[in-house]
Amino acid sequence: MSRRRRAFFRNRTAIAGLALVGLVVLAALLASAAPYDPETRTDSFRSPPDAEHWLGTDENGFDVFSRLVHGARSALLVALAAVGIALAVGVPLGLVAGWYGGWIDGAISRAVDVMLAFPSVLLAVAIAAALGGGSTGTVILAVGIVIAPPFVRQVRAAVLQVRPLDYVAAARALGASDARILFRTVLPNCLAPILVLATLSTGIAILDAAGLSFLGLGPPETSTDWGVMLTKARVYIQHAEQWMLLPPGLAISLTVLGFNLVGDGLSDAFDPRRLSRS
Amino acid sequence: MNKRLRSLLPVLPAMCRRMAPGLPLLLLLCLGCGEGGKKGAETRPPLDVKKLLPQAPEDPDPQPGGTFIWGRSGDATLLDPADVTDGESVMVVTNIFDTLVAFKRGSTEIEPSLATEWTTSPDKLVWTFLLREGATFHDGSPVDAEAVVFSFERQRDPAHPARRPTSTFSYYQNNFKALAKVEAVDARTVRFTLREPYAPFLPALALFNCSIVSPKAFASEGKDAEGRYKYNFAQKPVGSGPFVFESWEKDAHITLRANREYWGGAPHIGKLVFKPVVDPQTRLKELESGSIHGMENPELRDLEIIRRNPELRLLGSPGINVCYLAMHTGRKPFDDVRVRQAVAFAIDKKRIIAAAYDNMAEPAVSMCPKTMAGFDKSLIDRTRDVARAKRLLAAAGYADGFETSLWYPDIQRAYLGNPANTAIQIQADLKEIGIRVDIRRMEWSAILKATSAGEHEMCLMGWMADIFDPDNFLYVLLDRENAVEGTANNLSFYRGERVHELLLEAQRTYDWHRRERLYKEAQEILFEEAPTVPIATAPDFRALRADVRGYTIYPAGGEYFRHVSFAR
Repeated sequence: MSRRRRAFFRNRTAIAGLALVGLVVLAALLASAAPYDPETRTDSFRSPPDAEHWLGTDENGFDVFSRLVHGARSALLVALAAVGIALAVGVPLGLVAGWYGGWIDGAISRAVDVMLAFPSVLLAVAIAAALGGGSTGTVILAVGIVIAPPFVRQVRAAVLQVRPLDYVAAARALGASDARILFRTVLPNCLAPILVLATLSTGIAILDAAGLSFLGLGPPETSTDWGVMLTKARVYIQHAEQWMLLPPGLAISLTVLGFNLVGDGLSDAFDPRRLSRS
Repeated sequence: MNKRLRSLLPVLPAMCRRMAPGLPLLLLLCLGCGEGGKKGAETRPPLDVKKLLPQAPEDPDPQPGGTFIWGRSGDATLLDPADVTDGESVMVVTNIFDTLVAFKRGSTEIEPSLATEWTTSPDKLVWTFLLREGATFHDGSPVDAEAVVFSFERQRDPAHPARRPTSTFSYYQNNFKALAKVEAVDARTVRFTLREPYAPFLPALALFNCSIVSPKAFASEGKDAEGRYKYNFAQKPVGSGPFVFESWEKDAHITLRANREYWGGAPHIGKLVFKPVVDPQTRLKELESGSIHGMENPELRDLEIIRRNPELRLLGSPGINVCYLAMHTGRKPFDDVRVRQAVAFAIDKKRIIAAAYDNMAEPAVSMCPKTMAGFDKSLIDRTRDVARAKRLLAAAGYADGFETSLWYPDIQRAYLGNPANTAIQIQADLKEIGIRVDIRRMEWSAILKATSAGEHEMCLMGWMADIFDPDNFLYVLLDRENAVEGTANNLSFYRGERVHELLLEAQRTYDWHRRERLYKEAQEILFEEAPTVPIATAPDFRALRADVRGYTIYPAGGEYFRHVSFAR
């Protein structure tokens, strides 16, 4: 483990990613300390960034910086909840598919293939629209479902690798139940790829959630959601107030980038080939 | 260095893949910044609405043919002219149907249409109309006195076969209570008898609900077990107007074709398509690319872009409309006048106009807009007073405020530049006096239905003039006769006795000066009682392709495309 940790921390892009993610987490934790209340109007409309309003004010007179840090909180919560759903759905299905094989594996794997055949944002839009849209809960559910299939695949592959190994056979010989073997013996040995995937999925979840909000399928227009902020700022793209697109746009891009870099760093650190090389 | 770079190589494809989702955004933003450098320093000069023309140039020798596509903010709900209430439906039916009298082109004045002349009895209770010779419906049947009687009878008689179970005919309810009977004297003469004098009677006959419909079309598919005509007129309307209904694909398009036999002269264009494009920016993009030829309700902040584009033409006229906040006076806590006054004192109209109308609307004081005759010029609006609002709330027993909800439509209207921002501002205004408002966006036809059924607490709504008469605003929006759940236009469900008396007396009075005094008193009471908070009156804007000729804004609403053509 410590060798892996060293491999991770030696990776500069991963450190950069970690810094970005750390910044967002910090913003989310300290959101209440923002200079303005995100729902109290200031006296200026659409004013560009200055000393008083670090990122300017929006068309309703709200302080953009304060809304952005509150948005960090909801973005992280939504993403973590969605990944939680993906884990809760994907891991058991992957375990079952990999362990039992046969028609169970066939059914689960084909279902996963079908879901992976759709672009994730499109599928998320379809699910959110079917659920009625218009709330954070819908977004979490839609995104959670959309990012679940890779978990099934990943876990299934890991189980297939672990299944023929001696310690699994030993557990079985000792008379352990399937459930016990799956959760106590097999699962702990598949954690590395799940961790990597969960990190990468958090980034994708943030992007998909922002996409849904951007399309009006997310939380109401009053919320501090980044996607909502972006869609409200979008109308100014041809106007002098173009800068209004920057804060939410960059926040989404950099956060997603951060999670992706960390995920890649983890992936490299856990890569057995790389490990043997160092 | 070299070695490190090489060690990065295998990771690069993965990195690019991971970053791919963020890249388009970054590119977009870089693009935005680049342009920002050029334009950012410029401040937008305020656009002078008064300098805009309400019409496109005329073509002395209009080119026949072509398909004209009109981009609009929503789809129609129904196409039965007697049953529609919303602008999106009205602008379609005004092209399919004729009325006995009609608006002069681009004006609020009345001129003959299907009726060529009329006489009134000395007591103004009996009106006799002579019908035009040779006018026919799109199905070939003649527009005769029987058809006129049929068109009005079906709105009056609850047992009429040409009535659907869901029909409300709210315009008839609102405007023709005084009408006792309509009779065919002979094939070309129709007689209307009123119960009592009704001052806006003649202009009211130009309303779309007075469209003359084809009885033959209704009867064409027989009757059902309950004795109602089976023909689905609301989806397949048949009139005598300049355009013939062709097809309607919900949320995609409504297509009409020119009526070559139109009595008033065939339209120049061959086809007329109404295309809903909900997002105003997408609508403008479509106009810029030429996939639509004209559009309603451009985003106010885009007006300057339209004006500068040589391929486009911006039209404008002072709107006769009002956007208002209605409080359901039949529900607690809005049954208490002090609560309503508190709300009125808390709302900052200037701020709403800055946030939602790009400063391009006038704050409204009365539900009768300044641009309408009869507006009470002596009214002075409340200045925002949070402390006073709080005192009023406390006096009403709501010192700690209360929770309530505000519904607003999901589409933009001429009177509602940006519904969401208006709602957000009201929410923030009321939060400052302790009223916690849950704001909810609602689909257009759903909010019309729910609010007229009185299901709301507060709602954001507006009204555009149908006829140039203050009755069209004050009686329609605030009289208790229009506070019937299910067909209500009085969305505050205000039932004030004195206002009712004044409004009815004004309807029965033909002397304008006397009417003006009655409306003045009613507006003063309504200001004090504050069942609604009038918010703004916004100008009407249209954007057209520069080669469109003959289009005119009709101040009293509706769209009329008979004279439109494309430049050669």
